[in-house]
Amino acid sequence: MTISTSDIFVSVVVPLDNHESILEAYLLEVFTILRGQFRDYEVVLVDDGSMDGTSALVNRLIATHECLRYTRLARAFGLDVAMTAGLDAAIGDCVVFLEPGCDPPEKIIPLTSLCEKGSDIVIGTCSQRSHEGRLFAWGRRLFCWLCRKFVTDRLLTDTTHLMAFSRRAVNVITRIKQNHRHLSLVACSVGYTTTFYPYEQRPSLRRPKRRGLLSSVQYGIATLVSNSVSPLRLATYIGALAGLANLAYMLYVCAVNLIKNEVVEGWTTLSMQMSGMFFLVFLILMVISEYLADMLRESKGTPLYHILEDRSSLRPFAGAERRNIVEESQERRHAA
Amino acid sequence: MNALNEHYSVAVIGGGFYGCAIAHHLRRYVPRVIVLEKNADIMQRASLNNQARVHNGYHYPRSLLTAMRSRLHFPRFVREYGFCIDDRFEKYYAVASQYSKVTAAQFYAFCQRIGSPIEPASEAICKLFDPRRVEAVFRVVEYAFDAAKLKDRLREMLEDDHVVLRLGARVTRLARASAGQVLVSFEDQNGPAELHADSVINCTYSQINQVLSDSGLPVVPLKHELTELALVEMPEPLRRIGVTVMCGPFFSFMPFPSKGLHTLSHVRYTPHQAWEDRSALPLDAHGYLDGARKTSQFAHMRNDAARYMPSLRECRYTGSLWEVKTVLPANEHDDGRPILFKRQPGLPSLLSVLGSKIDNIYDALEELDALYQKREAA
Repeated sequence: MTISTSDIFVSVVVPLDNHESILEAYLLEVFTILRGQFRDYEVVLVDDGSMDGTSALVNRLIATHECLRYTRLARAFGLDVAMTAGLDAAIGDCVVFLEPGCDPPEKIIPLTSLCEKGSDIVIGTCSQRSHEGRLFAWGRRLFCWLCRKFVTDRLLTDTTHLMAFSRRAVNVITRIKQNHRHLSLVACSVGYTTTFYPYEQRPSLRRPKRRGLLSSVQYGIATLVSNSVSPLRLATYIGALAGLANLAYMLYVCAVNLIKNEVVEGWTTLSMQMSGMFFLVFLILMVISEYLADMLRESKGTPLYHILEDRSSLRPFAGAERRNIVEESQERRHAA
Repeated sequence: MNALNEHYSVAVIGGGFYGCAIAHHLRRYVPRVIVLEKNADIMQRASLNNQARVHNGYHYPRSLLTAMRSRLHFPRFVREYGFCIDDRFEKYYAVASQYSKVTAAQFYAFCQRIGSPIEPASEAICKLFDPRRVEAVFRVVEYAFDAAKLKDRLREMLEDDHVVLRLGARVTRLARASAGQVLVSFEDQNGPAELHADSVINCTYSQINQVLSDSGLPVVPLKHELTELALVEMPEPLRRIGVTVMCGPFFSFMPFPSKGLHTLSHVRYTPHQAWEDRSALPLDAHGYLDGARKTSQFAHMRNDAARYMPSLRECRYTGSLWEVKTVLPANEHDDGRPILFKRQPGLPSLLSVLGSKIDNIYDALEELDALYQKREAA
């Protein structure tokens, strides 16, 4: 039984991080799927500073597999940068990301099918994370909650690195110049049609290199800061509240001074001065934080808006059927 | 057996541009010259199936010598083959931001150094490129030649100077004959034939080693590639221009005047297969090309190139030019394109000439001048 080959040009991007032991078998699976299902395809390996024998292995594989490309980054830049490099390098009409080892290659088919049917972005979700520690799982849920609060409410908690992008989604995302940090987060906040695709990950044959607690916290903070100015706005609100509190305190001090008979010498002045100063400081901080947020937004150079589609009617102007004829020659209307 | 008992001063094997130009040039030194070409017409293979570029040095930022020679030959080629030159198109060279082996500043400085005209492209042209992927776009002076007109011109030149042109004649063997001559055995529609020549020049490009091997001579180390050039009809904004993106895994589209189309070539997708002639038996390159399964990679070329110039997505594919391209293994990874002048120790009257760039012919002719003038002096 032959399944008809799809016309869509698929790029499969596989970020590598010391995956030498499983790469050959994994690639064979990927190519089997691609050869059976697609007419035009490519596989792009993005090597994020692997220190094992990945490079030598790929030299061998490139000689045997067709349409295989290998981009090796100068050092380990992190998965987010590797995926961005993959988006820049891929040439297909649909770009699919697979995490080597845990994402089953056969998912390429449903993902490209969803892309073809109109979903510009597809993000995989998997609730079963057997290799995650309890603390890490809790931390991840907290991070997702914060993302939903500050960045975009479309993000789901259990997203993985299995993703598919249509060509126009790729073009839009690659135009955003910031350091992407968490591609699925950026993808959700862009506004194109996003579909979440629940699936089961394979229990990874290789224990994935997990970040330590501190490093994870730093990553979480950096991602939030990079993707949203809302925390800065939060600082403004807190500053405003603190300022108001100080103002209230100043009024209280004045009231006490006026109402009570015996006020300790110097207390009024001291309290007024201190709370006055703090009030001014909070006021200044508020203003600075607002301008900082504005500067941040402007400096990123992100397009103000992304266009989903642009259509126009077939008849560009009305009255096209009229013949260009006048029956009278009239005097000039304006003075020469 | 067709015993012609013909004798020639020089027999040139291969009726490509180099073979014909060399044959014509040598008439000023010797009386009888013959060109033996296996196809039904001259300039049917590599001289036809290329991007028809008249180089002006821009293409070789990493090989100053090749660039310099191209630059010097440009005005001469344009003058001598004026009717075959198509200068109606505007040419642009773009430097890519990522993956490029040269920077825009470097490329600009290089062009100034070799004296090739270069200026920043207009705003309208720059808008055709994706600014993130392209660092700068320059307007250059580079022409295309019409291969059909060039062929006609060469035939005229050969006829005017009484160079004998034997078409449909495939050389089967070269052997040492008496008095330092070469016995050239060949086959045409009348069957096998022979002629004698004082000198033989082997200008068969990809088939150089086939001719040598058939004659029991050692082969020359050569690297071959089975290449595909896509023939396309460009959409409106690109129809009057030619663009080359430097300097790495990028593409180039050039007008192809003999067909009224453009050729699109991509460094990554144009070569389909590669092999080397090292020792023992070389592959019959043309035979291999004929029998090879040719699956077009146009979709890859277009998809990749469209990321740099979105208008390319609208181009219309009309077919591909398949050909074997041959380079010296030493220059595989750089821009150098020297002309090979290989003498055979076993057969001193035989000279194998391999040239990769049509407009570099003058270096070959000057080398022959030196050779023949030395002989005359001796």
